[in-house]
Amino acid sequence: MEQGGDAAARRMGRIASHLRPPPASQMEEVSLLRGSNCRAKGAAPGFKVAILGASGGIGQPLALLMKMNPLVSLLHLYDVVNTPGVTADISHMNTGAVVRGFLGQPQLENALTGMDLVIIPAGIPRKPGMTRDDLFKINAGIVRTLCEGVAKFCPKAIVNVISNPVNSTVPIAAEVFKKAGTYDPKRLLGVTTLDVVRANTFVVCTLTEFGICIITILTFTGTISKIYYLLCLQGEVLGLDPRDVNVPVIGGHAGVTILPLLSQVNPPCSFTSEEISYLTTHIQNGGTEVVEAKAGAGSATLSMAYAAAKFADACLRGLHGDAGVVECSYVASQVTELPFFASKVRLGRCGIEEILSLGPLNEFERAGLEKAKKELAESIQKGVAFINK
Amino acid sequence: MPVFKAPAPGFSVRFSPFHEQRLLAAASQHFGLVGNGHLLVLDLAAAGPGGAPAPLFAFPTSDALFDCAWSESHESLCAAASGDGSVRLFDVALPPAQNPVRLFREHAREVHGLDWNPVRRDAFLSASWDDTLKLWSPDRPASVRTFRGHEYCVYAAAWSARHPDVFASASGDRTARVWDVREPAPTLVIPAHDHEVLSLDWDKYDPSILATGSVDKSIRVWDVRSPRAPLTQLAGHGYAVKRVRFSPHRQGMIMSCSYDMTVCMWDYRKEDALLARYGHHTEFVAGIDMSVLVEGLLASTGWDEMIYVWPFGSDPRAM
Repeated sequence: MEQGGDAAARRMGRIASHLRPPPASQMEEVSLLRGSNCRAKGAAPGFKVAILGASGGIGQPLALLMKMNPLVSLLHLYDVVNTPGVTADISHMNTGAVVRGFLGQPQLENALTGMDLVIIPAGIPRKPGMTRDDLFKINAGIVRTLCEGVAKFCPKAIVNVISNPVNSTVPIAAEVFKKAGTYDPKRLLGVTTLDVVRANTFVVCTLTEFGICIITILTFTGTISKIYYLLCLQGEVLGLDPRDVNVPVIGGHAGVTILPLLSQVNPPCSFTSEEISYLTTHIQNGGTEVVEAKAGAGSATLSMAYAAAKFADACLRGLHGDAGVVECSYVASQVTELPFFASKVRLGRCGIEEILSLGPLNEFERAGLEKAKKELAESIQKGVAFINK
Repeated sequence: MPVFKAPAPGFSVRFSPFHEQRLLAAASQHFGLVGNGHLLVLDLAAAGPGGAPAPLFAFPTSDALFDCAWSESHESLCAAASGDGSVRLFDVALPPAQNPVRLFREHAREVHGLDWNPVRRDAFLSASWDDTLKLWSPDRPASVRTFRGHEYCVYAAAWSARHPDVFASASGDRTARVWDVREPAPTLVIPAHDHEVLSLDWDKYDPSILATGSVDKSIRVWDVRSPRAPLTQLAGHGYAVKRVRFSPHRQGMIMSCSYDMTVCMWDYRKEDALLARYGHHTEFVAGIDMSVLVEGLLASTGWDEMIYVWPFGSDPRAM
């Protein structure tokens, strides 16, 4: 038997690993009985993801985040310009996914063949003063071409559409797939995660700001009991991490069609009606806020890439078979009389497993819903008409 | 209910298969990291209303003791698994000067688990952190068999209640393996959990059912005839599950203890499996046992140096 010190350290190590076990994927010294770890190129366990528009403002940070995702084994980057540079750059990251680049229309076939998930951020960004609809003509054409490629080369892939205006480009994609005979409403999703991400962040910020404001006012007036109550509330509110907050956002992905359901926030918080209308407006105009701040240099790309990567990861976890993967997304749906609507969906092995109902809406949200539906109906009609004209 | 104070953090308790009132306990100083171990035999009848009674038998050992087991053939013989890789046999009827009666020193690392064969009664298993299990007989000076197959520490071994030559082992390589003493290699390898499997036990009423407890805080119940997926998973512990035991009296009833300082009782056949949760310990609970002779009698010990014995359904701390 060796030294007592070694034995003590070993026993300590055993107890520590019982209390804080390393994540299963990192236990390299123990052989795994499930799944071999052979890393043949493109054949390793994991999913094949393609990003169409990978050299753009959203595409580049999105490619970065997807290369870091352990569920991705093969990453195809496609664009009409600059792809070789972006690919060479990303390929130096020491994570598991294999990266390949494809430049130009003739290489679309190679980019898409065999893919499990296709993410489409391609398109031109908004400039100050433009609405999402002004982008429509150009981006609609881009989405049509790319979806024709998806229908031909990877009809079974899950498609995440980011190109704006999402309210219209998703119906366009659906029409293209219908024409090609490969339409599966469970595998076409519009990415509205950025609105959810913004809602989660703004809820925490606002609660903190409002709380501080009110406390300052009350301190002046000297209302002791109210201060005490708010300080208690404040203690709870300031402890919130935006990652733990979840606000469902329904409707669409433009202006008033974005409808955050603050009454259904998790963990449950209550808001005053000023807070609700302030938050709702702030979330609806979040994109415009960034476009103005960037003053012509582009629109929200970094937070969009974060949101898109978060959503793509949820799709991959669903494909992987994880249970309980629920995200808000703009999909073909029957929860309203409109053919497309964003709501919470449960993701699984064939894309959308279940579209969850909207849940109880309060007065304010119901009024917002009516406004949203009107504008959404026009956007959907515009998209459908574009293909069918 | 009898409550005993051990001289050091407790690691294991076992009811005697011969005497209703006798309990064997293994304790180790400094939580088993360094220092001595203590093997104790306690008399439940001696615990009166006034202070803690002296144990019937107390033997200190040079290194920590992680597990203990009564012999099924001799009423005063018992075995203790030591941190220095040795297995020691004690005869509690003999004076301390003549103890231990046997010292088996073959394992290269800590011996973490012991189990005595309840059917054949003449042999016992030791499970060690050197990745092997060894079969011993008290009459033979060396091990009868060594079972190699696990790829990491073996934490526990359990004999089948029905088949005399079948046993199972739980290991840090995340598998539970079922062995037959006549074969050198495991008969069945169950990839039981995504983390280390710390304990396992066979159902005393159904010889194909076994339960495994793991660092992933869950207990999974397996049927060896279809080992691809567990029959059921019992979640409820807040930290790693240290030991699981099936009841010798009620089919489907499982007792478990965990690093979350609680002892839980389950019935895996029920939808709402958790029957009871006892939070009487103030430190990790490391040893549990259910009495074969007295239905419903439970014992637990933990790193708070306390040993509790109580009937199922009542509060362990009630006097």
